[in-house]
Amino acid sequence: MTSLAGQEVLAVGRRRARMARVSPMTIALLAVLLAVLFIALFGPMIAPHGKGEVTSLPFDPEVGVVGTDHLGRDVLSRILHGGRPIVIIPVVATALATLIGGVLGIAAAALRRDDVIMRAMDVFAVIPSILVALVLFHRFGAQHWVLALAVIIASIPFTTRYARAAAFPIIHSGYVEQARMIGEIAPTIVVRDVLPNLVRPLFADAGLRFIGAIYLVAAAGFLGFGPPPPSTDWGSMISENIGGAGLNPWATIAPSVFVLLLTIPVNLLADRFAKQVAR
Amino acid sequence: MIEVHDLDIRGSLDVQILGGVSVNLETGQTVAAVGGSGAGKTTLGLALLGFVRPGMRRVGGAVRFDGQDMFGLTDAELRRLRRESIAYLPQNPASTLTPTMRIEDLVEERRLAHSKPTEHLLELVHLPCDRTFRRRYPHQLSIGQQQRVAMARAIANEPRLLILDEPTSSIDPTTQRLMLALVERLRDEHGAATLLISHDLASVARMADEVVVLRHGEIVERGAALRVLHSPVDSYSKALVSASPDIAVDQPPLLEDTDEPVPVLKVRGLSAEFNLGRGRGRRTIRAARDVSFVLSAGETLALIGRSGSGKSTIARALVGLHPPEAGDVLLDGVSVPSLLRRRNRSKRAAIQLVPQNPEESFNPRRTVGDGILRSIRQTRGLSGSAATERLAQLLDQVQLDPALARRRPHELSGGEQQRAAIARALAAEPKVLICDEITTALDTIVQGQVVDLLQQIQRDTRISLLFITHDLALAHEFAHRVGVLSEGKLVEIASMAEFVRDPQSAESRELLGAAPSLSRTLVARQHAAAGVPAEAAS
Repeated sequence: MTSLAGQEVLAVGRRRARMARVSPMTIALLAVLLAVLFIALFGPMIAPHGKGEVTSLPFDPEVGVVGTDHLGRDVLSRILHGGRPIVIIPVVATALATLIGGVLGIAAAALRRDDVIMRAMDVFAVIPSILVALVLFHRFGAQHWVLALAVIIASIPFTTRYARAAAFPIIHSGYVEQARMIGEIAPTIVVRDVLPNLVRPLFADAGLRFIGAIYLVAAAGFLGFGPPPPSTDWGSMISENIGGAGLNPWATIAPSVFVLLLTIPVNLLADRFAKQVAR
Repeated sequence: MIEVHDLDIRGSLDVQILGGVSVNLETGQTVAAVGGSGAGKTTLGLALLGFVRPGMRRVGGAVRFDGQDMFGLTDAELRRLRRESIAYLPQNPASTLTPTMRIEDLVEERRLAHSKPTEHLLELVHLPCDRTFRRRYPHQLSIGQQQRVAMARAIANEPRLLILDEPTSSIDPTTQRLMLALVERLRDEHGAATLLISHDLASVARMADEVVVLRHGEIVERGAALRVLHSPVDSYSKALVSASPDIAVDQPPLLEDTDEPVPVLKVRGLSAEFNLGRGRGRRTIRAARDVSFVLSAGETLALIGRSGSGKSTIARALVGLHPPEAGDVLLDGVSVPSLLRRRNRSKRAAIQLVPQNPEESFNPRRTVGDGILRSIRQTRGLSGSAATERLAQLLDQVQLDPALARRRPHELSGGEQQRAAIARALAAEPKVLICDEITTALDTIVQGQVVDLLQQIQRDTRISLLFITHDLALAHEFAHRVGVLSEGKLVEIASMAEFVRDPQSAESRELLGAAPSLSRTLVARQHAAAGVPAEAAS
């Protein structure tokens, strides 16, 4: 109960603090992330060679920027062609998983008997995600939607658990009670009171799930469940070329670097976001 | 012994938290720091520990303990000094207990070589000292017991300096008396110096030798306790003293209605319980037992009781947030369904609640004005310009600057938040307004303003007020009748004047005896100083 003047100063301080929170590091991370996303999405348009085009002998380090791969194709062009699946599948899958997990989490937090949802999630959570993916590949083949489904199944238990924990204090907060007291119906309360306060924590969680999704897609590619040749992704490229690492190490290093350039900024940004939410 | 010299502490954006504050504490002396919220009292208390809160920094001045500058000590030296010579009790003493430690370890941890044994310390704070009790964890104790464990910890090292930050605000009368007795004992036996931070001027009057009045981090008045509290000089000190509720001061007769009282709300045989915990450790607490009362138009009924006496549960049952086990609620003679969703719009609107924590009752992502507008739309069915006009009216009624309504809840002060919450409740044009401990978080001056506002609204609208509080002295200022709750039962209900003159139940007498009275305490101390025994004085 600071005086009016003091309160004014504090309020201004808070506003400024909100603006000042974007640090140079955050901007740098965002820049890297956007650059990699740009390359992944628009790479096929700027690639100097086609994805299946043989330009030289296998593992020739002298050709192009980073040499050729195990079939003599230009590695740089392959990287530019191979970014889409590793970006699009995790984005779509993470978005869907967060949506479904968010709904289940809110429901679990709002219902008095939430054991049914949470115990079902516990069962899902104990199955290793890579196992889920491999089983699905054997049944349905290595298609994009199968990969996405594997990511969703692997993420939902955790997203639900997190959303439930984040939604619980909101659903039992004074302002939700207040809304109930003036007779607002449940859907209105969810849209006006619960969701706006849940969006930030859910976003922070989605960032971390996104990384898990990238690893899963990359791992599937590495294990030979990438897109059908001559299409490729960065994970498949790492495994294809690892045998020739002695001849042209760049054919392995370059796709690995791109995976890192995608996951590290997302990881750090999600961390920063989560910290802001915690404040 | 400890000397604060010209201390200057600033917060973010160089806002002054403390400016040029000097305080001296001698052995055996008690100094009280009083003032409104945000005056820097807690910051001063922490500075005596050689601690400046994160986000604040010391720009000048020194704190010297036995002549050595506390801010010049290394971390290890500072920790040693705190451990051996200082005790600090924060506003909520129970929060100092580590939940994973047993009671005996919690006390043991604070003992020094020369300290009294743990059993003895527990005895001193009137706790059982058998092995079963000592091996319990804090969560297995009642709040009052937890607070006493915290006190046992505070006295375990026989501190030379005791810092008490609002020690009486969250604890019940019995524990309060015990705490004050312990402080006096430490002072008399070990010559401990005490810094008492409080807004309860009656306990300040009882304990303190010297008083400093803080405002915006500066000392506006200082002097002998009796002098400052009896005849303050500074205008702010005067306001503080006059705003302090006093049970012994007769209130001017409230505007009594000449007409027969018109009953508005009838509560019959209300019983409610709630479950603590889930699964195996689950306990059922009976929070209200067969509570009946009538509330008339234009009347204020104060429901008083200690924490845990069932006050809030009754409030929540009346607005439909907590379905009761039994009992009826009648509004103008018509039964009100106990479940919120069974109530129609007019019944929901007729009983409104101003919650204990106003900030938490507004959506943090929306403006306060939005919250009030929403209530206008939902309860009165107004929209568009009619709704905004009504909002302006309400803000005017609660004397809240319309510019503040465009802010989010955390950007308002506690008093402003409370006004906004009152406006939101009034938006429904209720017949009954339930105020659940709405002044607890406010300092005395702001508290007085909120109470004045409620009285004025009542005069204008003849609204019925159910004022739930643990602060009898405050209720005494403006409630027509009073109901006393003890363990969920309504043990007494009477007109305020009659209640003060002749309390009927043991609980009432206890509450009355513990109610702060600055005037009485001052008289008692003056007599004590003149050599008259305290009993003769009263």
